[in-house]
Amino acid sequence: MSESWPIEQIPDADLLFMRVHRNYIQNGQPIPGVFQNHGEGEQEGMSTDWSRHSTAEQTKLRAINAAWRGGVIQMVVRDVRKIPRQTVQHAPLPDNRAHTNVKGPKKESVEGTQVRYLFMGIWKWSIKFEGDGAASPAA
Amino acid sequence: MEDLGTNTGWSDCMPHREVRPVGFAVSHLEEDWPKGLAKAQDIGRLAAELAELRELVVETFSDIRRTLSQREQPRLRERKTKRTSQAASQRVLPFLPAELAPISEAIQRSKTIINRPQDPSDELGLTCSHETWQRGIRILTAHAFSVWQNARVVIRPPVISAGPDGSVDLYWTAEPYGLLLNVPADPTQPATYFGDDATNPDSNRTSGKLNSSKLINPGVLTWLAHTAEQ
Repeated sequence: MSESWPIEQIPDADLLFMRVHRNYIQNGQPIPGVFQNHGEGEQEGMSTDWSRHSTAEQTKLRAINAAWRGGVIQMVVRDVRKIPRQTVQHAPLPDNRAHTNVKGPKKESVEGTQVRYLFMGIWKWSIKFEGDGAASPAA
Repeated sequence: MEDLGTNTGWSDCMPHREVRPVGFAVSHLEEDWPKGLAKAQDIGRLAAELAELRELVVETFSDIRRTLSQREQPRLRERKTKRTSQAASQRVLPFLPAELAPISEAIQRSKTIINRPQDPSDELGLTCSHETWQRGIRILTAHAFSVWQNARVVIRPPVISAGPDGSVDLYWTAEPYGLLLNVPADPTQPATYFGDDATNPDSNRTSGKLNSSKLINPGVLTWLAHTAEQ
């Protein structure tokens, strides 16, 4: 899948962008459940985009469904790497050179809960979704 | 004629009431009266008897309804107040005092995560079952009530959301303290938690599993007291 683009080392100071669907925004912040892995095998990981090859706006536009609504958060790579057992791996796709997986357990056991808790402490909005999520009372 | 006022089949199930028959008590032989007149008198008496019986039935049913409503007063009251959010929460949280209304409201709002319908634009599809949600709510209310009961302190309402694999997350933040408690979909698995103090995260933190046999965890309890409204 990644033959088209070389796999690069991602510096600590760079950013990772990630979409957050409006259903998962409560009280103006993403819920802890958004920090989870997708895919299987080698492709398993939390999908993000590396700031060297993507802007937050481009990440937002990569939503497959046209009806998608939500915001884009950013995380500093250094902060992600400080979370236990989380690694940042550039995994470019033919149509997305920026694609990066954050690998490592994010669920089950105390460790999974700890990991998601720590993710909740390192994100910032790049593109804030105006309005609360569909699951919230204000929606 | 059958005596309608005593032990007929349908009246067995009704409260006993002495009914005095009003028709046909006096013998009226056809030979004593012209046929038409006798029939008219019978019809008149029958009508009067039916009217009295009707009144009796109405009165009896009225008594039954009154008795039943007195017996079922608590259930009927609950129905009347079910529409308010606080009353609906009370069905899950019978012990929460009025001071914990913010917790009740957060619980009420969180019901949207139960069996959330699939949204085609949503790649994660996070949702949970009613059972898992209820388990999470029990843990939340037990801790909120315990802190209230022991310290007269009201904890902050958490963000109640669906977590991975059908689990439920309870997330508190009250700078510099925070806590995430995850309730797995599998009821045999214990809930897990992690929290820290952002000013001293390496040495001041709490984590662990909730003992399934005990609803309240002292570590969680202490941490939640930190998140109380100041």
